Amino acid sequence: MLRRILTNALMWLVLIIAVVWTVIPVMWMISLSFKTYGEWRTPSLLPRNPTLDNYIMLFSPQALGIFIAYTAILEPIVGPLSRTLIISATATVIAVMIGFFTAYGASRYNSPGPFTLFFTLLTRMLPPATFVTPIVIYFTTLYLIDNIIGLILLYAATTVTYAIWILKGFIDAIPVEWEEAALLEGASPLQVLFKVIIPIARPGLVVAGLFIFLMAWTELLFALVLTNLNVPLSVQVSKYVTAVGALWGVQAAAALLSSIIPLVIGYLIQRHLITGFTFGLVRG
Amino acid sequence: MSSRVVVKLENVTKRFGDVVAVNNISFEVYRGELFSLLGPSGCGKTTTLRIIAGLEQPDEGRVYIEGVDVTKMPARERKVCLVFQEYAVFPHMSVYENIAFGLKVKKLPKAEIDKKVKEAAEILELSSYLNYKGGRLGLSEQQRVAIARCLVVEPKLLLLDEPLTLVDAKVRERMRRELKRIQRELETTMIYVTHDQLEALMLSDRVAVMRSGRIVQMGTPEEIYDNPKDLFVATFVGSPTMNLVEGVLELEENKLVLKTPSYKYILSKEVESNIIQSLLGSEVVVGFRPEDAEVRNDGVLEGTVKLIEIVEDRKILHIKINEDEVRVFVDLLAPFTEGQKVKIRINPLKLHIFEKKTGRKLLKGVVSG
Ligand SMILES: Nc1ncnc2c1ncn2[C@@H]1O[C@H](COP(=O)(O)OP(=O)(O)OP(=O)(O)O)[C@@H](O)[C@H]1O
Ligand SMILES: [Mg+2]
Repeated sequence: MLRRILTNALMWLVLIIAVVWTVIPVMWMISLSFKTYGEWRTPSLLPRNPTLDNYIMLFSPQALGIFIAYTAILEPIVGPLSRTLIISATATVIAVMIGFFTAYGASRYNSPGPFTLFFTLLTRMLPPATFVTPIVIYFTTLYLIDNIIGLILLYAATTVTYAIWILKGFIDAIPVEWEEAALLEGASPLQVLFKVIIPIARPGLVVAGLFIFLMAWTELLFALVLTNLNVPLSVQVSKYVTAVGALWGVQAAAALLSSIIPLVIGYLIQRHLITGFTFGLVRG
Repeated sequence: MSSRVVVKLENVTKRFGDVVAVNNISFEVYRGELFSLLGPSGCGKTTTLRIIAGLEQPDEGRVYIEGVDVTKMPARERKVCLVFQEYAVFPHMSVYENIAFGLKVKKLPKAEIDKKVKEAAEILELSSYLNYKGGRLGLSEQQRVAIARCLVVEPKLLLLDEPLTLVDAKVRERMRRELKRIQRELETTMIYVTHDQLEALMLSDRVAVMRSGRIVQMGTPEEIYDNPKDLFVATFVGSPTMNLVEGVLELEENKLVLKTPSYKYILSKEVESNIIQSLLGSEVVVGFRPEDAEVRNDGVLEGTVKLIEIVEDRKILHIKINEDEVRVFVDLLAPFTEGQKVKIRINPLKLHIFEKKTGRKLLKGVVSG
């Protein structure tokens, strides 16, 4: 009995630590984003004079007239935000599409061979920094520097391997008999694809898509190197704190904003996520 | 080729690497017929079906459907439907959508689809399940949905790959009858694959018994049961299996005798010696079915009852005779006890004699009358 209580108490303790560990930094960020300039460096969790100034500054850096010296170099956050939305969404669609067809071929026809597929992992076996120099050189000659198309292509290319491996698992789990049955009942290959395989693989597509979207959304290293004026959100967030000055509160607001969108997307598709993660267990 | 022939296989062979899954198979299936492929696991039944459906290309041989060579024709153009051994139903669609699938892809008018789906659902007793998701159904409902899905597209030929194996025993029997009824009513030509000999015998107009990629024997269920061509068919068909005793045949005072190393069995009191002559002295396996022997006082073989089993409405006596054990059917109420000494008589007309070396049937029935 005592043991049970102790075990329970211990469990709760661990849980609480884990929750505090993950939640406190987020709380701090939220609190910071509502603090006035003078309060940024005080460690209180509740802002004394809550203000929306940081958020206003995000959207129109010149509006408040203060910090002009720093903010003149920054554009309103709407620009980077929409850029990142376009980049992440497009890269995700491209990567998932290519990934799906590659995975399908690999799963059904064992093509391009069991070993070849491992080469797609190659770009993930080395630290990304290794690729920075060659990419910069190629992108310069291709006029892709400071161009969102450049980032779209780069993200799609580097994440496609995740799409392949995630989706291959899902497609492997779809019995080929379902496709064959559809064929025998007169469906064309395209109808088989759209009416049978894609609907059944949908959770996999959602999981792969979300994963890739988040990677593209948060990528900083290449974005920093490959952009100059047309910066994505991740770069913009980092810009609020520079050698010139540190806009902690504004950065916190930007960070919050940039994490809310993936959160909303995640929430909206969580139903698919759940079926996605348990797909292997439900037969038929 | 007669127009009665729906499908014809001509010397079809299929290899997977070193495995010869189907080895030089030929057969014809007639319109409205229920034809079974019967054989143990791995003998090539599924492969044969898949070749007919066009899901697998034969390495050799030709396939004809209604007289047309379809060997190279893509699966979806053959108008042949297959109910798979497993994974019969689309999990993401309702029963209704499942049944309607083949009609929807053909872009039939909605009203017509609706009518056909409901008809098929009626026949297969699925009307109350129409809104269930495919993945939520029990196995027997799933199989029925799969059959309904095939029926609505009105195939020239319906192939069924062990459709009842996964269904629990109680439902299986009813579905077997249902299937037969549907087949008769709609006059569908069916090829039915099973490894269950009883199922094949009960359902089929004709049966092809397969072994290691070959057809060993083809015929009506009666022919297969009463006149097995070799030891394999003899033992594969029938339950409990045929009794077998090995030995050498000899004639003693016009009695046919089977000599084993240590014993002599008198198989019958009279023999038409001219049939037997050529078999004398050769090593054989003698077989008889449990229902072809009786326990009676004037029996020629004496043994001890070792075990009494009750199977449905009959008893099976396991009788030890010398070193061999044979099974004999008796009435459910027949008063036998274990350990009792009994005499049996084998119906000499129903004796099967096989060559020991090859398993080939040498003779059936050693005496007339
Ligand atoms: N796609 C394949 N690749 C390799 N070998 C195969 C393939 N399909 C079947 N085989 C082999 O061919 C042989 C016949 O298989 P098949 O599935 O036709 O047998 P079956 O009679 O249907 O057996 P079961 O009763 O187990 O379903 C088996 O030895 C099997 O291992
Ligand atoms: Mg099979």
